[in-house]
Amino acid sequence: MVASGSDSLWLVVPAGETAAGGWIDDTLRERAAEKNLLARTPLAAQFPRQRVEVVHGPDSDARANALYHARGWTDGFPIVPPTVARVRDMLRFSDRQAAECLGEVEPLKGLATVERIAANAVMAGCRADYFPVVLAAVEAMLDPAFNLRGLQTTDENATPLVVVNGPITHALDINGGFGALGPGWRANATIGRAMRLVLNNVGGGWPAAVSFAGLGQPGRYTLCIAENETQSPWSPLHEDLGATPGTSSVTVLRAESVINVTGGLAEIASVMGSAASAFQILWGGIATVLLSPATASDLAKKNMTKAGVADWLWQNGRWPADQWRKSWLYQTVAGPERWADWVHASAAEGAVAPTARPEDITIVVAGGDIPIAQQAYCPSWGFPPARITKGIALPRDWDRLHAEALQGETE
Amino acid sequence: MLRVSAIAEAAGVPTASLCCEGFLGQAKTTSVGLGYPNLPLAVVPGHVDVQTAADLEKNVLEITVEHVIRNLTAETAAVAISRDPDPHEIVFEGSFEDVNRLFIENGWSDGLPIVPPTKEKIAEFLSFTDREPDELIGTLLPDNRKATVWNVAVNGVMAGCRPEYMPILLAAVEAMADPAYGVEHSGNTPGADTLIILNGPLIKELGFNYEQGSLRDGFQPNTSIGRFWRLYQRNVAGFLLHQNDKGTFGNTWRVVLAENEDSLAKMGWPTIAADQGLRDAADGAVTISRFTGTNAVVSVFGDEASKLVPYLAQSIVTHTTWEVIFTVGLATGTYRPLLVLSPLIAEAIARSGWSKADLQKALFEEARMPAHQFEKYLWGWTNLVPGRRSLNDWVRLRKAPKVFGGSDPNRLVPVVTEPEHIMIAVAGDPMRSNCHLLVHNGMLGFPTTKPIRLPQGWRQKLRRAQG
Repeated sequence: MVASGSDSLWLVVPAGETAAGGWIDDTLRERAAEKNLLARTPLAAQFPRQRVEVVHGPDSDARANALYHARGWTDGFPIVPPTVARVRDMLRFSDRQAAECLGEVEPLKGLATVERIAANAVMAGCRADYFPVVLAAVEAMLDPAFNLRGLQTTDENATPLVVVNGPITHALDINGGFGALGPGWRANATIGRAMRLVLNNVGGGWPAAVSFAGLGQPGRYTLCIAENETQSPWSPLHEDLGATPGTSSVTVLRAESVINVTGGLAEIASVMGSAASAFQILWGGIATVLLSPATASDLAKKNMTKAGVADWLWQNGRWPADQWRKSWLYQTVAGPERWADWVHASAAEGAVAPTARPEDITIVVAGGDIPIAQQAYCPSWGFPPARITKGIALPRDWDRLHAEALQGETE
Repeated sequence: MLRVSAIAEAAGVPTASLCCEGFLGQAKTTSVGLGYPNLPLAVVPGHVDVQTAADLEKNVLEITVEHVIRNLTAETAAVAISRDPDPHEIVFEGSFEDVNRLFIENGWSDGLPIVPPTKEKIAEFLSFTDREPDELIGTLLPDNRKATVWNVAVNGVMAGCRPEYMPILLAAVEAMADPAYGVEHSGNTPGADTLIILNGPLIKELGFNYEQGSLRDGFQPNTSIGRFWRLYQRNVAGFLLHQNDKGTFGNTWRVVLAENEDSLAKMGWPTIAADQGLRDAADGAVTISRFTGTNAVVSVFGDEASKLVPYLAQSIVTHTTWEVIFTVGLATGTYRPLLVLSPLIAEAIARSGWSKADLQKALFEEARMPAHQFEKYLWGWTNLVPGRRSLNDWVRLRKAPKVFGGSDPNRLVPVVTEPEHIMIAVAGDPMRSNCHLLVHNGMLGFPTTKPIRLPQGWRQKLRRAQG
């Protein structure tokens, strides 16, 4: 018998186990082998098929990291080893049972049990009190209306875009202001990353083996922001979508990319009315526009409502019909037949609308309060249009637990 | 129900299995063992037993019907079955504490420390059988895993058994694998637990307790073999709480009940094994049966059989409630309550010149309940038996024995269909007038008996093992 080292790590296996008792890694290994990708993940599917495994020391932390990379369980960055203790600590932040299953993660249908999501959230570097947000976001992605199977396997570069609303954004310091899309905020960085790890480890969305996005995008590491409600002149997004005022929610959208637009509504419209929106138009997706607080309050001063902004963009952000007909997507892939009736109807009037309806343009106020107007347009990959809001369920003794988590950070 | 669906799917007929919300996990894991891991399930929200007709109708129309349609029309996804590690593979090396932590974290233990099943220890157990390690004893639902001599030894080591118990462990698992027993029902919600009853010379040779405290832990063979049973159900059959074991409350495992064969011999009464038809098992036999609950029948008073019978009979009636569905209704004629008599009481009855069969007949006559109460267990207080009829209807339809017929709701009807269905064992403190009643789970854990087979050279091996 080997002496037990205090350096041993007891790790909750973060991989996708199916309802049938199989593990998705067997399929992933086959797919990776077919594509000559085993150099990236030489130890794919090589792990004990059990809930918990032990990685012995010395230097077990580094060994766990090396193992997880080699098994294909990371996004390329180092992970925090999901020890039983860390996972258990995270599980305290939900009143759900560890074994409760939120659903099957497409396309390989690993079971999203609360414990397995927690293991991936630990790996992503989430603080334990982020867990309620991660759970709500995963639940939203698993909604059949989100078509995760399509998103995971498509050749498009789309990725889930998470917008968090409500008091939780302050409690967890989820950034919606300066640099909201950039580095520096642990919550933004790790909540989005936890979702990616769930998609990768439980759903099996391995790039080039199962997921065939041509380029991918940096948003596939993380794409999570808070709405800048404090500086928004309008009602927050989740309330527009039916949430009770004062509650916290996540809204999950699909973003094909994040395109910076310098200027106001006219400039956004000019980007929108272009080939940037091609797939969104073909499949009928829901677009997102991230509007800076300065621009939003200017518009509000001119008595424009949020719905009015969306409507203006829908009227003006149109792709000239002749350009549309000459476009690569029209000429090479879709032809005249595959477009919806609303596309043809608006083309007949001279320009193709960016979405089927004005309300399919989601306006989110985000970014720092500076007069130089920086907006972003996030075209969607459609099919079906998806914008899913889920309430964030806090554990019964949230106040105490949250205080503990905050204190732990400064100790 | 899922077993029926699996048969239909095998015949190429699409199915939809209705499943109350709380049972989805069990249904999914059960389907795996049935070889149809993706059996389509139609969910009924909540549990039907406590819903109003209006709520049930709303739930079914809004949710269940849609699932049924999807189940019958959509294609079932193909899935792969997982691989267990090779049974001979060393899965872990570490300290005693580490091994135990690993086993508990992964659900391979009942929560108590196990003895690490090292290859050396397994070999010792295997030396106590002439059977090959990989010999197949049977295949156990719900996980559809093979019961082998090897994994009997592994779980025996883990449970804290001694190697020389191996012949008893093998007989117990043979009984578990016998279709007559019905191991696949072991996770049903009443949470009944199996009692292993031991007969034969090993009771004394291996030091089983068969006297005072016979149903309590404290003696290694009784205790560790009882624990082995539950570990085997967990690790091989696949009954885990929150998964396939849906016992609403359940019990801790029962220790082995060894009969007091000296007392039986003195009275000339047959053993449980003999009652079960194994009269010539020279090396003894193991009988298994599943019991929902037990109670002590304390201070039985009387100097002759006829004075002792009424209290014993009443205890059977009092403790038998919904279980009468196994007498008439769900599985007619499969109810086998077990009355364990202390030698003091058994011998007092025998002194009146009564055989065990005489006692069974007297109890059959005396242990009766009003027909209206029997009917309430079937059709009033539970909905366990479909079709709201009366016992008399069932007699007329020839689905129940004649003794249950009649028009007076207050007439008394028996709680078993035949006198010999009241099983009688003798054990416990020989000097105390207490008895013990075990209420039975019918066809879902039916009494099953297997002979014990000793290896060649048993005597020498035993001597060596006992040092």
